[in-house]
Amino acid sequence: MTPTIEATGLHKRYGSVTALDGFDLIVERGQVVGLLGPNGAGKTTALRILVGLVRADAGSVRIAGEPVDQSWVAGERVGAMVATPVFYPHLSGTDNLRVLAAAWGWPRARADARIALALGLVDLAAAGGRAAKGYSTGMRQRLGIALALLADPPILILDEPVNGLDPAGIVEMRDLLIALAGGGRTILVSSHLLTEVEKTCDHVTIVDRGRIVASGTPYALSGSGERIEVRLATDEIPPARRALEAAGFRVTQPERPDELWIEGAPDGTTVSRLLGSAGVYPDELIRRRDSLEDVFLRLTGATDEPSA
Amino acid sequence: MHLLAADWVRFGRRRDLQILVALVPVILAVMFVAEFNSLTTPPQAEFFIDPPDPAFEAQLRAQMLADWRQQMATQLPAFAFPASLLKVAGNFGPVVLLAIYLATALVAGEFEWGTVRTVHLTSSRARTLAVRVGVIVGLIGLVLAIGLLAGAILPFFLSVEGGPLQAFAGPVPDLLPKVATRLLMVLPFIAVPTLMAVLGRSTGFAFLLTLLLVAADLAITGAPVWPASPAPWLPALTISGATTRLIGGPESPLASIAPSWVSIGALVAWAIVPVLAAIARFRRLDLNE
Repeated sequence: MTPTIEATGLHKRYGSVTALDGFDLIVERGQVVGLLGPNGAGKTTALRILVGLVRADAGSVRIAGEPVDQSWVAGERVGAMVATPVFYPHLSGTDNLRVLAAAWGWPRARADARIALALGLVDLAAAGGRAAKGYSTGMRQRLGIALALLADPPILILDEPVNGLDPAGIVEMRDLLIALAGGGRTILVSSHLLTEVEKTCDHVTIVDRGRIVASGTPYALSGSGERIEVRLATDEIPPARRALEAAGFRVTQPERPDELWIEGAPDGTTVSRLLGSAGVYPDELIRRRDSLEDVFLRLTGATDEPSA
Repeated sequence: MHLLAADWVRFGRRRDLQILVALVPVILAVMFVAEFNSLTTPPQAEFFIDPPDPAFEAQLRAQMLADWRQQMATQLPAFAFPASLLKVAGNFGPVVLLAIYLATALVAGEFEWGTVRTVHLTSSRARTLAVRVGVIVGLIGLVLAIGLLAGAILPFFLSVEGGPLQAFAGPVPDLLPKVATRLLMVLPFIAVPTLMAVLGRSTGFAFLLTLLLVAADLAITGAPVWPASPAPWLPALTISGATTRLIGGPESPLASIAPSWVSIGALVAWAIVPVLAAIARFRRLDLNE
């Protein structure tokens, strides 16, 4: 089956800065894919190229099987909000949406109905008549999403959709994205909120220095860091380590001198039995998975809060 | 058609555009009436003759009035309908400034607001820019049409020394081609700033750049070096040179070096080539706004 979004070998340089360096991405129909990466990783550049705003120096993009070239138009098939939402300041929120409806040649009744629906979805129905220049950051963000949703497109590409929203707005937006995904849409969303991506997306792609460094379901990505952590008396560490390594498990010791991390063990019971047979009894035994944040930090080498 | 409808939603409610489009025809009408009044107001002069000589003073005054009447008789037909249409259409200044402002504001404005991204999603870039240029041509056409309407009506309400201005009306040969030529002369002032707007992506920068180009165009046309150069015909190819050649007709100083069709061709090229260049550039532009 043809992927809905397919980017192959994208390269893009701005002067001496390499924004994308062999970026590959495949989003299958109906998937909700989260694009994660630290500042300057190339996410927004990638999204700009995907919707044809920016031309790649090399590589190709296909959306729904069509090459995204100079003559490609997103039209009603792709709803996009890339970077900061932008509007005609002298027009109301409603009229900003009406510009698109008019460009698509919608009859008045259809335009009115879709505009009302889109504004309602992002909780802007009451403010639709106000000039967009008076909108707060959160309202502008909501209007940008309304713009992307106006045509009820089967493909959505959203860059930081929860930027500028308050906590309640973030929850609403998450629910909206989940509802939209439930309708069978293909959604590609970049976000700096890892927990939001984890809750919303069924696939996660991590970008660093213009390349994809990991891709998979949130569970699969964090599953790669599954381990059992045991806490013991310090003098019990060497025999415990010998017993576990003899069983073929990978044992590492983090910074704490009374702790061991065991990878490759099927479960905690097996580890307990092995330690007991070695005459060692742990104070604490925890089965732990890496969070998406752990994976993100490990793969990108970022030390700060990751962001888009 | 749909893009035109979208542009109507975009710009129909812009107060600055509404005011400018309404104001410029008024300015054209005021210029017409002011020029007419200046011509038809009898000259006033104080004579200081020492020693005073009332008879000589009366003779001077009578001569002055006779000169004025002769001048009026020569120039008044240009204010009577239908020649008044040429008079109104010949007042380029406000229309050209409006054309430059509209082209820069309506094209570069999309870059300044970042809305060029939204525009990009709705239709092909080439079509979008072509329609936008069409909208600007339409607005300028509307302004000129209102101005011409004023030029057609005003002569019937003006009088000279108690008599109607229309008494001076006479036939104007080739009136329509002459009016059309004057309209054609405005088109380069839409095309060039459109290209500047795409290149500069800023209304102010594009406006300034266009004014500089117009100044350079005037300087090239007026430079005294051309007659002795290998390209004496070059001034006839500039915007101002071609305009001068066409307005001046056979009496134009450029008439001896370039037939009128060369100047018409030059103006058509100035009206089309910059737009094509702007479209070609816009199609390849990275929209990082």
